[in-house]
Amino acid sequence: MRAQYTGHFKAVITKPQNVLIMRDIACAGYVAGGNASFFTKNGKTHDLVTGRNAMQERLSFADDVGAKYGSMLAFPCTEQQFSGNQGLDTVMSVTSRLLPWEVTGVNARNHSSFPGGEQVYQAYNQALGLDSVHYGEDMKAAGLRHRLKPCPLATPADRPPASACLCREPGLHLPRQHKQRHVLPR
Amino acid sequence: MNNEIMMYGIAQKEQQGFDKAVEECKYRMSRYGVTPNMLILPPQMLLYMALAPEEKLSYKEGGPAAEARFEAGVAGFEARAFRGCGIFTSEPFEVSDDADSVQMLTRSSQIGEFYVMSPPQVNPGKSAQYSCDILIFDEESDRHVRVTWAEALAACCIEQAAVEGGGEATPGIDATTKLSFPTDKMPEAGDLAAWYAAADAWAKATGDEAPAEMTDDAFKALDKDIRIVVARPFIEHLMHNVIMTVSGRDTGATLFGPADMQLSANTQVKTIEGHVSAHALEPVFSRSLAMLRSPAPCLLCVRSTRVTSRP
Repeated sequence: MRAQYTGHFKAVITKPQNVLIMRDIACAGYVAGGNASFFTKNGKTHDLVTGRNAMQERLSFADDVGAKYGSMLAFPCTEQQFSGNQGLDTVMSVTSRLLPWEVTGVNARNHSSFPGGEQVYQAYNQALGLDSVHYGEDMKAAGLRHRLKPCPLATPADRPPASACLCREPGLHLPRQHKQRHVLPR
Repeated sequence: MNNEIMMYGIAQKEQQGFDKAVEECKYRMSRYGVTPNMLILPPQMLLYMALAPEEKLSYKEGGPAAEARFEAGVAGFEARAFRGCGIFTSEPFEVSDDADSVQMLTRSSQIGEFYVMSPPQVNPGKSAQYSCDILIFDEESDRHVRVTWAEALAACCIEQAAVEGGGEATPGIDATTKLSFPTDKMPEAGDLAAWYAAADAWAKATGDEAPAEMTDDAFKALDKDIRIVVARPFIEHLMHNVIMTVSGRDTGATLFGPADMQLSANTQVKTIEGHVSAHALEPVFSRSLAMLRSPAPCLLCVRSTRVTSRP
């Protein structure tokens, strides 16, 4: 006797405050990005075109997930940037996104935490295409009320999309849309 | 951001990290008047939690109870409550024979880090050579790797003009780009050309062809405020997640229905399709005890993409 059953199952949370997802609390395995090779390395020299391409290849896993990619970038900096109030302390942003304390204050809209400061950021941004790098924001945590999207174990599909800037979709983060996405249909 | 940093890998960062994480999350939920009583863990993490923390499993730390915990293993960990929460596992979905299984509580996650390379702040004397280099951990080859000041300087890719007597021009970041935070020793322009000259002086003074000893005069002439930031912005790991929740109907329900049942506003993205094919043989020995039963009806009336009655 052969039995076959096809069905749809759906878990519906009616009281979201009853659920808390403890994210990323244990490591299950290494994927990429933790070696000691510079993106810009091209044989015995370094150049920015190689750096730009290598970053895109790494973020999109152009060869394969297990292939060898670069991991590091180097930037000029000075001690004065660490000792100043508006400079770099423990956090820096290599993307076009500003840090919370760079949005307001004396140097508003200024990448003062980027090594070298605003003009150096603009120069590297143009050369390496830093504005095409994903912000690193956890979109699912921010937009889907801390829900999880599954991913295959060996070939992670939940990776932040390479070269995809956030906020391309106008009003994506507006409260109205946020609400619309998650209200149960009546 | 602080919460994300604190929670990242906390179960492995310290022996009782998971205990701390659970208590922290219980506190966060208590602000909504919620007392969780259930934890859902991926099986791999359950194995780690049941057999890894020595403080809970070794006799000298935890006494006879620790030994019993170790012997009980995963089954014992599941049977016990963990800080007031029952333990359940989330088994992976087997999609097909030629595709990877899907673990709902595992995802790929990226973090970044940076290192600051700094020249010595006091005269290293005879130990000047390689004193600007750093050792960093290479996770791919599982060893520490030396990053030299000269290589990091080259990786900054700052434009170099041709030098009289042989040196070639190298393209790169415009050397006239102004630094926001120039050092006190830099000329007024405070641009990358000045920064590169100062950094290159350190490369020559501490590199492969450095003099045997750095004199005080030579040390004073160098700009000690020069730094190179080495960033690893895309470190990616597979990470386990845990769900803490309140069990029972108060939190929600699992709805099920036929293959054409669709629920939610964005159904195509959110629907999880379960497909079970099985060969089963169930002989009936006593006809009087057997009864043909139709499938249990779904509690909700579901039609198309609309739920017509609320749960």
